[in-house]
Amino acid sequence: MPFDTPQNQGFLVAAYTVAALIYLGYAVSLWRRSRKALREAGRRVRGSAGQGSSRSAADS
Amino acid sequence: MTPTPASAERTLRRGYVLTVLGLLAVTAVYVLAICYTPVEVRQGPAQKIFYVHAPSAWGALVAFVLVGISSILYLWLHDTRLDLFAASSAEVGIAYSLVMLTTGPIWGKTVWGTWWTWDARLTLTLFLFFLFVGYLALRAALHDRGERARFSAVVGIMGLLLVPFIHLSVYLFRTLHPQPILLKPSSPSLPPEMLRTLMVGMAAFTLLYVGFVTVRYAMAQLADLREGDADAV
Repeated sequence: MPFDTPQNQGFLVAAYTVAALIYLGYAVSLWRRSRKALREAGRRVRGSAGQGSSRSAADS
Repeated sequence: MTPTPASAERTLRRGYVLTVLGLLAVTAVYVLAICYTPVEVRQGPAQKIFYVHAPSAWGALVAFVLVGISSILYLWLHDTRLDLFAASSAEVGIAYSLVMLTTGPIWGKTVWGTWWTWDARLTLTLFLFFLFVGYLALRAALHDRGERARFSAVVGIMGLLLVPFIHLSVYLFRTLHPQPILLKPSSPSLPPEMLRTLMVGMAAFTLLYVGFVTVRYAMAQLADLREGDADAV
């Protein structure tokens, strides 16, 4: 008896779309959080440099 | 070596490059799976879900094994970098298991006729997912750095103990889940085109894992530096 291959492309499209959304969503989340962490680190470095220069001015 | 903001930024840039390469490689896997690999006669096009599901499962298990190993090493060596790596790998592992736990039921619905069944492989995988969600929740709840690293290392090791049971569950219990195709004593049982696409998928999703973990690790380093500054004040 011939075997009919099921036509279930919809499930394939759904699975591939869900996977792409999760991976891309996570990549975007990492990118946004890392930019924020970098900005904060930059502010801290500038802040401590400012503190250091005002302290050395006070010492002199 | 103590991380500095400059070294964390360099790690971050390397992570961005690896992530972009990983995403491009995963796109190539999509193209290969859809255009190159043949349609399986009995399961139809839905069988191709396997080329995303299996490498994601591989990535998730690798991530959780590495959390466990770095947790053991942290308890032994007390190196903060191991704790930061474990936390990074756990978060990436959760993203991979989310893909595994969503694509699996979509395939199951068309092949088994049901979205979910409480068999050993599926149930243990769900437990592992919840365990690592708990791992991240525990880390977020503890503010003392040493305490957080120690407690979460213990949870990470618990997760590591679950992984072999998940891999062997298809042999140990009666289960609907298919037997392993690659990680088994005999040679892989797939036609060459399917095997090639699966192998490319494994490599691509591993590369993406490395990219994600590198970015997440650099972020953890920056957060650790910030916490160190706050403790010093």
